[in-house]
Amino acid sequence: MLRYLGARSATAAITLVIVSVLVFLILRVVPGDVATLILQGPDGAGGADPAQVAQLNKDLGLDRPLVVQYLDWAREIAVLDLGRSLWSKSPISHELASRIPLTVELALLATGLTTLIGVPLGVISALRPGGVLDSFTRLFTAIGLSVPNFWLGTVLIIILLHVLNWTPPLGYEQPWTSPLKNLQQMILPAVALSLQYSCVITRMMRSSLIDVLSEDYIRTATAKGLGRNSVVIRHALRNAALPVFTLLSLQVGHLLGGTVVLETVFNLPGVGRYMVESISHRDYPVIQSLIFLFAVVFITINILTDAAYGLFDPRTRVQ
Amino acid sequence: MRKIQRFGAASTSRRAFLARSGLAAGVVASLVAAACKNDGSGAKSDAAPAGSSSAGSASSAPTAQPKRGGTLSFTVFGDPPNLDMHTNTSVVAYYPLAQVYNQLVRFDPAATVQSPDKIVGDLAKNWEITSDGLQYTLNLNPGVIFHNGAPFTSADVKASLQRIASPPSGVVSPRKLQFNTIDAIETPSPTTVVIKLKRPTAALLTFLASGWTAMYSAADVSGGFDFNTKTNGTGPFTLKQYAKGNRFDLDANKSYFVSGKPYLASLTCFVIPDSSAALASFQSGDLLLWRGPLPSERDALKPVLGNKMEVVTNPANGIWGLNFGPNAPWRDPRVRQAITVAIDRESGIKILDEGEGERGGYLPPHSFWKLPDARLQAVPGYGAAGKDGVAEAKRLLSAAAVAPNVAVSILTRQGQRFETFSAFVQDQLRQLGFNASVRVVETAGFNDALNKRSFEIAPVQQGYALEDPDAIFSESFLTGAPRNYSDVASAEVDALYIKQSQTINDQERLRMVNEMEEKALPLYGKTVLHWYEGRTAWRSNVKGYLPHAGSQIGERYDDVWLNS
Repeated sequence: MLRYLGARSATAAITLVIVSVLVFLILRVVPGDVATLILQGPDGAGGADPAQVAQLNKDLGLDRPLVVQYLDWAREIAVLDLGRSLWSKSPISHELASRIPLTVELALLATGLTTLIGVPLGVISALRPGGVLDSFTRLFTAIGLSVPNFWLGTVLIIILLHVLNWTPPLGYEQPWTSPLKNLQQMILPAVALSLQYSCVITRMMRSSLIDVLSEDYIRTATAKGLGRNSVVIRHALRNAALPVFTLLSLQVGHLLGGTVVLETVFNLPGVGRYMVESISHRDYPVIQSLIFLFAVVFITINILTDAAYGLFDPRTRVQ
Repeated sequence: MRKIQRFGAASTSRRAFLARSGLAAGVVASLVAAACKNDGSGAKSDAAPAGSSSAGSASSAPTAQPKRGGTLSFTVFGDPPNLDMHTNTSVVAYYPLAQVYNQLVRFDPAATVQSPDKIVGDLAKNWEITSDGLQYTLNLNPGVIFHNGAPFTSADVKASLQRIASPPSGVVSPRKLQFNTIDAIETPSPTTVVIKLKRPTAALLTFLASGWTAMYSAADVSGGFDFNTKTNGTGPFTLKQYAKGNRFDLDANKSYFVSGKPYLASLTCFVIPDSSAALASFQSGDLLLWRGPLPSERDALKPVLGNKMEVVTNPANGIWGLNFGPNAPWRDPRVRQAITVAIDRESGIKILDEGEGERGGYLPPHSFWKLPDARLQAVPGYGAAGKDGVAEAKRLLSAAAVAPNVAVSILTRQGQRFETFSAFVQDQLRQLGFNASVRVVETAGFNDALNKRSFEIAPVQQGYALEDPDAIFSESFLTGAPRNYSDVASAEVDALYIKQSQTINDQERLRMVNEMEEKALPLYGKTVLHWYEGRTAWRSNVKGYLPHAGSQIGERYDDVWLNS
């Protein structure tokens, strides 16, 4: 196992270096510069004197050779120093510290709801394929997969506004500061997010369980006299859950990258919105650091998922 | 011996001073109306704001007794780069930070306009100007203290103005040219500032009244205070907390130098990028004040909220305009004139601003400095348009040897309103025989293309913090101005600019400004489609609030109170 993890980690390091170089170069090729945007304002409605733009670029160190800029950043990121935002001059780690908890909370809530909705629906649907419940579930998932989550979020807000004259409270509060307000703010985006993902999980659970239920060992267990529930829960579900587990892991990784549209609709200052704002501002250190972090998170989740497979399926345990 | 003009209050109450200012303003306004034969647009701005749906003329002197306490919630659409008033340019910084700072003088909060005769004292209680316009002596209000408890003195004024005019290393001051005629600043006493100028500068008081000319502590300026992340002003509110992407929390300054104010206990400014989210929050009552609803959003709220809300439409000091690239065929003024003449402005107002906008020239049509309508309409392209305009435009294009069906790329910023604007321009150009296409880029790329002049036609929305000709022309219409993207140059306009900039008498200056604009408009460096308007909505329990023309002056909430 250690050798396996070591090999994966070495591959991951090479991947991260390639990612860092690519991101750095692509950002420099894209037109626009942070100095002009700072002077013109985020709405771009102000004017910017070229001499002042040049001075600001110099103050921000953006007139240095690209190699020097890259190596400075790489040196910092290697020791987990994310650097400072060119836009606000604040440490990026401080700015992330206020945003990551929100994104993690949203990811966990959405994943939890997805699991609570998707797995049982998938199981129920698989146990009676072709039945009324199965038909309803398949219709529900077809609709759910077609509905964009930001549209659903907007519709939820409009319905609650017009029926109850209520909107989620403004100004994000941490769950440990104000749990009720936090729940009011997070439940709607979590529901909007989880609908689409739960439909995917439902379908995967259903097809995977139907496959497993047709296996010989299930027939053997039934022939031995085990009850239906026992067969499904103790024997079938564990094997059918493997692809579902993979999907859920990928979903968590995706959600941790932020869901910018939903964050905008629900006015949540998460990582996704921060990323998009930074791209609009050409805030290179922030963009580079965020993409690098996303890559680290994704790679880590993949490694952990692969390692965790061994817990579920002894056949995949590394010798 | 130089004659000295005195302004501001002697030892009188603020209310009496405002009354006297109003009377003087009325006299000046009458003289302006008589001299310029204006259509009364100045008076329109003075009185009830245009398009108000209810008591939009609520003055800062409330009719009911103000109640103390409560929290006013309002919004901005994004985060500022930092908290430094001297380096910012956007309303996302101005709206929250204007509560924290004072200026030396300000535009009369009881009026809604930026006329030079509407400037009243803020930290300065009165001032004197020598007849040659070379020396300003300002007497400061005594007993003013910063939020950290330090007294405000003339040394702070000197340090603040010097920081704007000659920023230290690492600080970029977008408005430093506004104060580049200051020769010296003297502080003969803690409550007296003497500003000596290299040449007369008619707009100096206007620049001092700008919301961005915040007074900082000299100790902070010299002591390495981090203005990017902290604040220390003299204003009616103190910044308690700023959570990026989330909110600003401000508390009432209990030591504010204006006795009895502010009435509110606190302010919360939420960062809400999406206007739909702002609309929903305003409707549900989470937001009490909202600057910026579209006409359709305002109209959607009216039947739902009824008399629970008030809304006012004000000039917003910004234009929808066209910039022309420096290459052929746009280098030919006949081609630029052709576009200007042909564009159907009334349709543009309907499409872009749902019918709410005002036609005008280079200076705001509602302002003291506007070119009289008859003279503006005499400039080809700024009179009546329509079918005659298209025929005239085709004649001009033919004279300029522009081939039919020539390909034109319209560069536009990403965003629904900009793309709509560009689609409109594309349609107008096609009527003239151009093979027009639209290229959409995001804001950073758009600004980059403008600055590098790598575009043919670029429709823009462009705002101005101040209506003063010095501010607008120096930014957009002089040779080499930062937003003169068409690179049009005129020594005559430049010379008139210098002349009017040094003319202290408002009427004489106005005459020169009108002449300058008349000379600049036919160069067609920029085509102005119309000046857009802004709407401000607030819940009816918010009292004492009066929105101003333009978005970057007068937005201070020391007069505001909540009825429930």
